[in-house]
Amino acid sequence: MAASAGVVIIVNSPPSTAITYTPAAPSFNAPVPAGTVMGNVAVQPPEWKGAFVLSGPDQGSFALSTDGVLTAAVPLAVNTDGYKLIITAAP
Amino acid sequence: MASINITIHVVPPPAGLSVSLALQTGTLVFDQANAADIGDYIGPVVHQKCFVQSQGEWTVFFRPDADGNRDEIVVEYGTRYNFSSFPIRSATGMYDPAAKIGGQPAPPPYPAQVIAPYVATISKNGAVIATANVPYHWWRARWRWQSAPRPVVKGLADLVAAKQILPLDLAMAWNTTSPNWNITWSGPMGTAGLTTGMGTTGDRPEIGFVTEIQADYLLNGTASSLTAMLAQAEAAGSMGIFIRDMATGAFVDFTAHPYLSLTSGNDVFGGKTHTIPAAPSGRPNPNYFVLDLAHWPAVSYVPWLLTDDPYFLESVQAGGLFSIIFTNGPAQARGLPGMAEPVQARAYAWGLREVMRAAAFSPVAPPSWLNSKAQWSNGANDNLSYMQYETDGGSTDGRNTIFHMIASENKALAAFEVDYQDVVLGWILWSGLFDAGWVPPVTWAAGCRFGLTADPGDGPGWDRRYPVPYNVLFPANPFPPGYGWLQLWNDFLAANPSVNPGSWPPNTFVPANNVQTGYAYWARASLASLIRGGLAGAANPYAWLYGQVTSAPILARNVPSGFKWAISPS
Repeated sequence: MAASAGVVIIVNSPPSTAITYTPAAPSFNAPVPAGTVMGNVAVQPPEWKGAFVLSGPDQGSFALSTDGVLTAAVPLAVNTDGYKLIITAAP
Repeated sequence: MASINITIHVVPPPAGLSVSLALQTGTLVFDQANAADIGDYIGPVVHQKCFVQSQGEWTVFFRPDADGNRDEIVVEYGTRYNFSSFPIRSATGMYDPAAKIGGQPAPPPYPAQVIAPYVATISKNGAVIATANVPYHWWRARWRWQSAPRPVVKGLADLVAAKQILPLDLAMAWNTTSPNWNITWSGPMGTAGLTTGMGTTGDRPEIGFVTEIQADYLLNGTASSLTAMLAQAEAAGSMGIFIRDMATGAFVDFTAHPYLSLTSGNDVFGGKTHTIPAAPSGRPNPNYFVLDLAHWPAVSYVPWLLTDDPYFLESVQAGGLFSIIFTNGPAQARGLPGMAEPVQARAYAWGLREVMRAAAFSPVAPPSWLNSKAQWSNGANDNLSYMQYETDGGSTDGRNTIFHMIASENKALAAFEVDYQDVVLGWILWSGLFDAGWVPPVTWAAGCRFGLTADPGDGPGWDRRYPVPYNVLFPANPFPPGYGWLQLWNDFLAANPSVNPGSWPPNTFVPANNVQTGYAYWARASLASLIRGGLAGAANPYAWLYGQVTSAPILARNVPSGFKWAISPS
């Protein structure tokens, strides 16, 4: 009987090298209903398969889907300084 | 590992009203801040601003009151047209399905009904203040949201004093009571109890110089009649009659753009199709109004007068326009672009009613989105010209020359339709609001009713004991020499063997059935209006008929005469 061996080959997602955000509108009129699409996120290289991480002082007011769509998680009130977010494409 | 800092700006909403329409094809957002100011309506009571924004075939009017105490949004679909060239196109360039270009069918797409429901979300200063579920939206129709209905600020005495309606008197309403109308406004595209198949025969509450519900309210002030009256005025928006000129924003001027037609496909003359683009024929559901001038209900006029609500005035003007462009053949043949359509006597009665009301009471200097009194006066003048032609010897048709019929297209004498006409004609004279030239043709036209109720002491003729015959067939033109009322009566008897005057008591109204009893009450109202109009010849027929319909045997038949026919002669 010939010998055999199981081989597991893991191909990791390439690390993200760049991230772009395209807002759905330059600004939004308050009140912005929860679920409103705020914009879309794209990551380079296209083969990147990692996860998004939201952070920043206003992260709790937003949600980001795996396909890069940023939505309002709660109704948004007027914020003259702007809601601040950091979107990270990990790893 | 890449990251990005972003800032999302959420700003105060634009001041004022906005509405989003979540259509099956996508969401349209309209903002007062992005709408054009097209002028204030300043009426006797109401001062309302008006801003308009259009997208595709949709038009939204934002109409806050000038004092900020009331808001209104009007949503229209398929109401704007380009009349600068033929074939006529809709706002997005759609032709009528029957239009031809170079002999070939005009290209699609064609207008279509919106049959999928949509939700309208109405906001003010960014806060949602209302939503409306719209089940469907008909081409050329509209609906509105209002923060509060406009209150009634006038009553019967005011309207009569202004000569806006004929005087009504409860003493002239026999066997008639106020029901609980139980009609409320159900919302966009509602019908409020109106008959949507307008061509359906038979009397119904909405047919008349005023509607039965309006008369009930004016005479009795009942709460249910007020609710029902205002609901039916809203329902006018569900009728496909709102046809605006994109160049002006107002309803299309029938003099500047003559001989337009709603009748698809059979109105080509001068090498041009005059059809206003319509959605393909067919009735999407029973709540769709199939329009008919012969049964046109005046649901908006009295509510407008009572409230000064310009939304109702728009419906009055749109209804007047409909009266002219229902078809265009008779108007085009006579060169009278503002003539009401006269194919049936009743159609001419109600069409004339609409045109003359608009001519009398439209604003002298309206905002751009309404038609002016001067524009409507062209319609009044064209109808006078038509009447003069029909009555001054221009016609050789025996129906005109012998029996003084106006609507010469009528093939038979339907007395109740003549009475409809006479009610309107009497008002025209009584009002004193129109050209003195109306007196001769109205006097002439009254001859038909007078002939049907002539005193036998004046000589043989129609037997007035049967004063409201239904569809008496005329002989073919030219009529036999010497043909007149007596010969018509004899021909009527020959065609109706069951009518046996030999068995009737002398000089006594003998109705064959309760319908004819009802008709006789209408004839009384007709003569009352003619008396109001100053026609001395109406006095004796009125006195006789009044005595008959109020006699004990007739009243005992318990036929309601109706509030709407309670026109008093003095």
